[in-house]
Amino acid sequence: MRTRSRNGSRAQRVRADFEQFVTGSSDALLRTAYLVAWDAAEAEDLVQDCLLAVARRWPRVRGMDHPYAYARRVLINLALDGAQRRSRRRLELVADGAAAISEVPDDSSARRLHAVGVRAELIQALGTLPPRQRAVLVLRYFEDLSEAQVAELLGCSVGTVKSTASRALTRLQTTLTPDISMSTKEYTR
Amino acid sequence: MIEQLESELRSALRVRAEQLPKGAATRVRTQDYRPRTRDPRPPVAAGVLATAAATAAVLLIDLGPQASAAFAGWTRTPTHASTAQVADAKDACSSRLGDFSTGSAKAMKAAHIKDLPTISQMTPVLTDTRGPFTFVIYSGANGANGTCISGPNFTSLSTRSGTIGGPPAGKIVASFQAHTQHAGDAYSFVEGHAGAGVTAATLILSDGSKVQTTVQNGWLVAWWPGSADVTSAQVTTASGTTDQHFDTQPMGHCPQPTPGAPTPKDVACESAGFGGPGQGEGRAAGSMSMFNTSGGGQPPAAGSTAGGTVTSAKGG
Repeated sequence: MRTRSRNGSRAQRVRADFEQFVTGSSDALLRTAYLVAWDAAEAEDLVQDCLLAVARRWPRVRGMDHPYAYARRVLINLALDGAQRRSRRRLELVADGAAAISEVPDDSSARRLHAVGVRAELIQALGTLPPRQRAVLVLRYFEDLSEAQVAELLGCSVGTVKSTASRALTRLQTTLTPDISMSTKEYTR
Repeated sequence: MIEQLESELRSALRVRAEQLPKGAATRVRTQDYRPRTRDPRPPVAAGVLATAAATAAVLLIDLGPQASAAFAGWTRTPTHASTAQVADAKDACSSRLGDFSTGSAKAMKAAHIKDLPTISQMTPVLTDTRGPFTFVIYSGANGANGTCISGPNFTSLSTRSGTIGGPPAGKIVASFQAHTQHAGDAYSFVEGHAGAGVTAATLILSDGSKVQTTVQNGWLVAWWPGSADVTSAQVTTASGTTDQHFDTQPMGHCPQPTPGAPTPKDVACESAGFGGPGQGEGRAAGSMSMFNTSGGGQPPAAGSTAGGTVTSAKGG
């Protein structure tokens, strides 16, 4: 009886730990998922799937030094596994975004608007990146992970992380340049 | 140049992250992530035929970002639908199939559930219409089947696999019951098979109300707002109408949301198995799988050979 009681108490503690983990990590996981998947509903699904996976392994995960790092790894892997689905959505986003850009107002605050316009176009361009490239950028520039940490998380070499990031940045530059020029013309005419 | 781009990139990512809808975190936190285990309870019904293998698993996803809080226009008796309504419903279902297939694959993988079919591998075998709502059953090889219900504001899909023994002539077998809810509005459905000679069947619910099924191609289905269980049926053949009792598994229902609590995402909270029709007659092992809800619920029932829990919902 006493053993059963101890087991029940331990189970309660494990469950409480997990609930605390969910409370403490869900915001960060959601933001990361949102940036990688580029879709809010998809991000919710990914985080739920991720937390389900973590829950199944929680007795082991809770003993890790960094349970959040484990959850983030699960999340990124889930996100990249579902790349095809999100690819289809990205195309829709590109179409929507193109219309939005043409609606940028042309007023006297040209400089401020230009800065905002660049950021908006950068955000739009990020949405067009392949998921793996975007994931690398998110991990490097949003999560502030080192190239080595990103490599470990993605299960690839540091060189692969560097080349992937480089390709992504080059693609962003290429994508942005014509749009920035076009915006400038709009604002100054 | 690159440094400037990296700086802009950090800023853009922060801005983008802030655009995440505020309700997302609440919805994620209020889900129940407790791992499910196989239910230790005995099989669904005694005397289950060996050939009536239980469904291996089921994945039920309630989709519909703008799902209605009510089912206005629903009728207890199937209505005649226009060709356009049926076509629109099938289009709505089809448009969800891609997401469902890829989404379910991911969810199944996460939950270690294997061999669930995708609706794209099946063909429609029954269409049930009740006012503005259209319910389609799809059937595929190896016992795979799926359902799609489409209304003015939502579309919900489910698939499952496994083989259910067919009912004897003049009887029906209800092989699957599901309770789901969206934003506090529960609805339930039963699907099954009709034996030879069955021309109509009316389900008697636990609240005493009746819902007439649609019977087509040996399949039957009925659905209704709320979470009442099926207790029996009135089965009509050329020789008259007889009563048929169902041995349903005792099941919990979708938990009702706490007043004032954040609205949960669409959830498919439960599906139930049935015993077969009558005593000693052709029986079908029920099948079920339990799905995550915002407020807990019952564990999966017996009968699953590959149990598991999947949470995958959109909307709300």
